[in-house]
Amino acid sequence: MATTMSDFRVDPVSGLKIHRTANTLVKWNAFAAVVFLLVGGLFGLGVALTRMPSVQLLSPELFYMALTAHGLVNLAVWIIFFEMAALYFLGAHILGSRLATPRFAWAQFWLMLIGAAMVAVAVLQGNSSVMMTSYPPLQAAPHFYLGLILFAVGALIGCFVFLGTLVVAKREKTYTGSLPLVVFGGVVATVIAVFTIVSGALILIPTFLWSIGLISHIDPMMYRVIWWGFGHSSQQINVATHITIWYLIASLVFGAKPMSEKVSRGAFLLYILFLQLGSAHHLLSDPGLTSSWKILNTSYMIYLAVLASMIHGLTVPGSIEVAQRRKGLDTGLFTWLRKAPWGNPVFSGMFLSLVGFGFIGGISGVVMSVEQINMIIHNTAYLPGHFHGTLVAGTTMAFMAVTYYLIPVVFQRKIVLTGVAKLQPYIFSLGAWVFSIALMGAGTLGVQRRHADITFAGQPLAYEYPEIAKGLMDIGEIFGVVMAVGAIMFIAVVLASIFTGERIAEDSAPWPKVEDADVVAERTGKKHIGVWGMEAPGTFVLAMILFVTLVLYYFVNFKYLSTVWGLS
Amino acid sequence: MSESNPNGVNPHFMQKALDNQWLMLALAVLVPLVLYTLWGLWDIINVPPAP
Repeated sequence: MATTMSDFRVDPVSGLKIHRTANTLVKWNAFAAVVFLLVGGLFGLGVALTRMPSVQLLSPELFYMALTAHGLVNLAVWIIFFEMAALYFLGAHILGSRLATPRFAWAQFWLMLIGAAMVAVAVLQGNSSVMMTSYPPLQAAPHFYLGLILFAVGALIGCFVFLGTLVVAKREKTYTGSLPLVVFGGVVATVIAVFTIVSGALILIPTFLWSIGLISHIDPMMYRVIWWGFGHSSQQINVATHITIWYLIASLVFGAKPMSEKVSRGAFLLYILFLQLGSAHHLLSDPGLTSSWKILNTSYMIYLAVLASMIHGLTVPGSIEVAQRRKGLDTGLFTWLRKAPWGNPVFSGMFLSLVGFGFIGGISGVVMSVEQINMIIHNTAYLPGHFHGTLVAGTTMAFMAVTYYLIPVVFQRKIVLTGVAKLQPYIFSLGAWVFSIALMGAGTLGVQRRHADITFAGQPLAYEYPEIAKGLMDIGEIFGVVMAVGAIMFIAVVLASIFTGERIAEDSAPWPKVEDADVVAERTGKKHIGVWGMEAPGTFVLAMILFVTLVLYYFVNFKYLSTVWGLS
Repeated sequence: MSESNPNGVNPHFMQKALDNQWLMLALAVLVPLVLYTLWGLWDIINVPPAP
């Protein structure tokens, strides 16, 4: 396909050569994502105010409807629309290439939109409150499953448009050598997405046929195995994407380079090989699966993916520390961090995402994947606590952070409500962190998940939890409201900037660039940085704090297990 | 966003493998398909029927 220079523009903010059609697709996918974040967030607010024992806002019928909508919209629709925008940005914008097959890319957008709308209609009609997992024998309306299938097919098309764009960029020599690390991160997210979507198709197509009466029976155990290949792996796409965004932001804000590209790429390879096997931890209580399958997948293979996460968690802040030290902040252990641009939401959001993901979502995920420990928290409120630590404190915060960069570059608008934007990452993270920790505490005390009333009032199997469990649920849900306020602040900044922000003219003067840390070090003649013979000692200390926390938390849980499950 | 392997340097075979997105795709599908999906389904198929 012939392209002309007018098909591209050189962006004054980033200096990137931007393919206009690709940019339009990034815009529409990102815009749809933010709208769905708003919709899903409102349902989430309803869920939070119902799970709060002292409020119990919604009736059980409305609660299950809201929970289904919140789970699907916020766990799948918002995130996957944003990932499509991220993939087109990485493939076309970063490589300075045209997008392969824009018509297929538009098919991706419309199929996902129509699919999401069909699912939303099915849920709002009230006869598909089957929650995100839609376990048989619970049965939803046929258009619920059909909508999910269309959404997944759209996402699959988007993945191949991205892979095709890489082929185009290589053939047209828009880059030389290997793919830049951040684009390789996009490849990792994409290949994980393909397994995810194929798993979804394998189980949702027969389930759809079951819902219209063409198949008489779906085996619940087989459904769960294949569905979690879809349900959990979809969250691994998020992990790969948000870690890619961490690397991107470190480069954009600090002119940082990875401490070792080989190590970072090796860690991404571990993700490709092992990350998706974590799906097995959802099935640790399932009777039909052998302990060999459970333990090999969760207690062995997944640790290789955890190793990769710890490498990324070390190299991203490490690269920032090295860049800061090369630029002169080379005193003490943490001067580089203390003098980082905490008022810039691109950085603060990214760093809060890194800390929240590592300390809350990451540590809890590792510990709960141990088969024995899993027995004390399986199907409790610990689970939503954990995945709000990964998907909200980690992924969503990272996506929000990079959006503050994308608005000037992609939408060509200056950010408005800058005071709100500066504050937003802190409010959102505070809400997400306390919400996650409080729910994990309540779950450890046995509070079950997915129930409108934790007291089971009026039910034959009523159970009285300790008051501290109710208190933790109240605290958690109060901070769930704080999290929702943070999300609304983000949406307000995005929509106000897109519709009312000052336009950045295409021929305007280039914005000042962040200098590459290596160039600064060369100019100043600075050859040695760091203390104790280490270039990034502060990051080493932070990594050790994370490691000690993980080990302590691991043993505390085993100690707790020994008290609830006594041997005589 | 730096690039590895500047022109004129023959990349390491591992780097060549990582640069092949189709190989990465095959690994990302085959490894979990075998270790997670097929093995899991095999376990379930072999659950003995209730007496």
